Amino acid sequence: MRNTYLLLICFGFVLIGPFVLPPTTAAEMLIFGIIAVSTNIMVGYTGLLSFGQASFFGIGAYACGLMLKAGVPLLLAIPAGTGLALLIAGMVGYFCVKRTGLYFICLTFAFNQMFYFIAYVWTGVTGGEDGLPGIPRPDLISDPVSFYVFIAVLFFICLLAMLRIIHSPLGLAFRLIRENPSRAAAVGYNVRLFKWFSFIIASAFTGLAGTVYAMLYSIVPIDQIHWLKSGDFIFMLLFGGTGNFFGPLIGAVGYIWLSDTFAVIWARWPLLMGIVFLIVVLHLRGGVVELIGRAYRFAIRERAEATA
Amino acid sequence: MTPILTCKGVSKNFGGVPAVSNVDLEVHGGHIHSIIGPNGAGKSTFFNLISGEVPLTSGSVYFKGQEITNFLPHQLPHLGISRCFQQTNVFPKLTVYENVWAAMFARGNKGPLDFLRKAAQFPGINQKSEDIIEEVGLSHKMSARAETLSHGQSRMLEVAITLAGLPTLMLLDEPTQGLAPEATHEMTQLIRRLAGRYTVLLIEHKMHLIMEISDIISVLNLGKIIAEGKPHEIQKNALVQDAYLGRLR
Amino acid sequence: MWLGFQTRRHYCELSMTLLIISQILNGLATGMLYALLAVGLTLILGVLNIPNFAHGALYAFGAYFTFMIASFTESFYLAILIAPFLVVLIGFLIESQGVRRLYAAHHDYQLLFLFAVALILQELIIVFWGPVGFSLLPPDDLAGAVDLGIIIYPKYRIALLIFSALVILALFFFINKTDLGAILRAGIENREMVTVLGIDINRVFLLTFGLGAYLAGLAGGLATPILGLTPSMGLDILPICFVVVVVAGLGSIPGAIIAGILVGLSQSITTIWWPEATNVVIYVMMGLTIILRPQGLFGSR
Repeated sequence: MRNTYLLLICFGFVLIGPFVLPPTTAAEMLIFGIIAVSTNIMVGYTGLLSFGQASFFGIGAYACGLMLKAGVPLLLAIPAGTGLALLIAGMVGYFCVKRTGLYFICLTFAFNQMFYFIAYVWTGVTGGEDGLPGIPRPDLISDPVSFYVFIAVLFFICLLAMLRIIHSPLGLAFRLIRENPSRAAAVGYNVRLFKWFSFIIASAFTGLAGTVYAMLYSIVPIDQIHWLKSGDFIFMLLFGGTGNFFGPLIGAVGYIWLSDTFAVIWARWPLLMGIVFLIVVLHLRGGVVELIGRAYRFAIRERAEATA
Repeated sequence: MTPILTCKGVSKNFGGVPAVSNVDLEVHGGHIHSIIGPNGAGKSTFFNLISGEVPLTSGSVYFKGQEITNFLPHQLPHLGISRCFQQTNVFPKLTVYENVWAAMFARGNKGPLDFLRKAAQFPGINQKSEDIIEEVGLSHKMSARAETLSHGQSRMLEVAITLAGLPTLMLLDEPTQGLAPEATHEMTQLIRRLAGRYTVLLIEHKMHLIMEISDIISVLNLGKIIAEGKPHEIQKNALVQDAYLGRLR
Repeated sequence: MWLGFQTRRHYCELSMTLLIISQILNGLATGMLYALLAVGLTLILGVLNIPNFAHGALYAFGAYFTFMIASFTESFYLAILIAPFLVVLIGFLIESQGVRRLYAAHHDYQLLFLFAVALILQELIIVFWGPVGFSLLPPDDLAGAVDLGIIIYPKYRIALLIFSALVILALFFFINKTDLGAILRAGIENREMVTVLGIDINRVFLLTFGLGAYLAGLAGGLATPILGLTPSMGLDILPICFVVVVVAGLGSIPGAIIAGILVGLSQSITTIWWPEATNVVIYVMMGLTIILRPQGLFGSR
């Protein structure tokens, strides 16, 4: 099966990751990989463009960060943080899926900014503008390499879970909704309910990624819950390619690599990211996956002409 | 015997414009019951009122004795009502097989856990999907994406999706719309084969088709039923002729 | 000096009344700015069917252009006259080079394009004008305060109130009484119909986007003496614009005006008793709207 090959390729990259890159950067790529793939469940597979996924990333991060600072064991903090993100996604999602298209986007965006402001104002809990610092890592994973291994394992668990969801009847229902929501209803799917499921599942995995992100740099900066971050998530999807399960992973790697590279070149690196985003939106909407496809077809054509 | 479908006084006003007025209709089990009428008579709107796409202004609809007035579209397949659409309304990027499979899976009470099982764990659905695809003659296109089908094949897929709902009652809205004579003939034979096993409420324009396969014909004009009866009765009905020729009484 | 208890309480009550009145006026002033922004956003949302994520950036550019021209020409009035049109030029550029090109793709991509533009414009502000903000004083004849009888209130804010109200009235007149305005309203209701009527829809889009950009730029310029200029002002104002539009209901221009004023008032009145909640209150309003009346106060979609 093609998916098995791609999974193996993934595994390969994950294995060599910490040798080619600093382990912390590689871990960050994996974390954002989870976010990208899970957001794609909503955006690419169900057709729900959300500009508010940073809400749940931030909620997971803050929740887990606070619990770890309070001494809660990691194996409790992660599910608890994810659970909180899931719960809140359930509530937010309930209201958002009542509307479609534009209004849905506006609602997710507005909710995102609401959570940002709660984080900004609730300084006693979140640290406000300065973020939540001093998040401890359990001794077992305190050094970069063992942390990376931990993240890698988590990454594969999440990836396999999401792969399973996509290839199940649930995933099919999501695609039905993207393709033709009124017909999906006409054949018996409660479209709003399934949109809600998609919202919750995507947000829960994003929240999970948030919980472990809290330990990455031992701080949760407030801009992780800002709507610009939600835009970054969508950038990852677009850059990698939304039509494909694994495409967003390329997007995550690309996003981290580009932002790190640009940050060294110019303090105004978001400008460069914006330009890349612009180019992708205008000329390469299928993302890197489309680029690979085009290159592949070009190579085949060249070879066919050469042998003709 | 109780009719499968009963409509009492079904009406729909679009902001003062009556699209459907006080329609009483009974459809009996196993019949092919056709609805005909000139363009704009309100036939598709009538279907939309039954299938929940459009809310009724007044009146009620009963299915097997149970009231289903204003039920939401997604509730009806689970009761046994399936419909096809006049404009081809399939899932473009999904394969023919997935189109049919998804419709069949939706049917019936599936627990939440079923939604996460692998497709291979539903051999019944897999087999029946293939059977339906074969019945409509699309076996050779099983893995093709729906958007790659020709118009005639799309109409067949449209009907296949409707069949996949394993319905008791099928609402077919112009299944032969835009089809060439040969394809029309195939579709007609298909519908004829369905009679008895299913109850069919059919909207069509092609008179020879209607006359050939219908058990009962109801004639709709300007939102009202103006005649109802067996095909040969309708053929002779002067009101019907007037309606089609544009002469209003 | 020891004042009698009754006198002191009376004095406090008087101060409270004065505070409330001045805060109401403040709220109306910012509310007017929000209204201008929200109307622009609603127009673009209604006619082009895209949420303009670059709206905040256009507002910021309006402010910075105003600052630049005012500093150069020493005339605030000239700046307010010219700056919004510079923003319109940016708006035209955005619409013709990006939004229009992506029309065939899907309006999601137009949205993402605008997001990318917002990022770029945001950074360009820092590139051109630096990371530190500025302040701009109101023009001399509008500086200082005026005695309104009950209270003494800054002249500029009164002028802002009056001027914004005039602009909104002019806008109202334009949209409801002119042919062009009718085309815009038709475009919001039914885009296909407009094309069928033989009107070049691309021109309508360009015009609408330009008008939205003008209103955003004007709001930005008018806001400078009150709110100052910071590079993040565009990013900060955008969520408020969206909240106003959500509360108003998509597609309603009168709703945008009223909702804008409401939001401005809520913020300023909340400041009296609970200053930290000034921004949270707008999200409370949004939340209440979504729960109690999801189509917005004036929305129909």
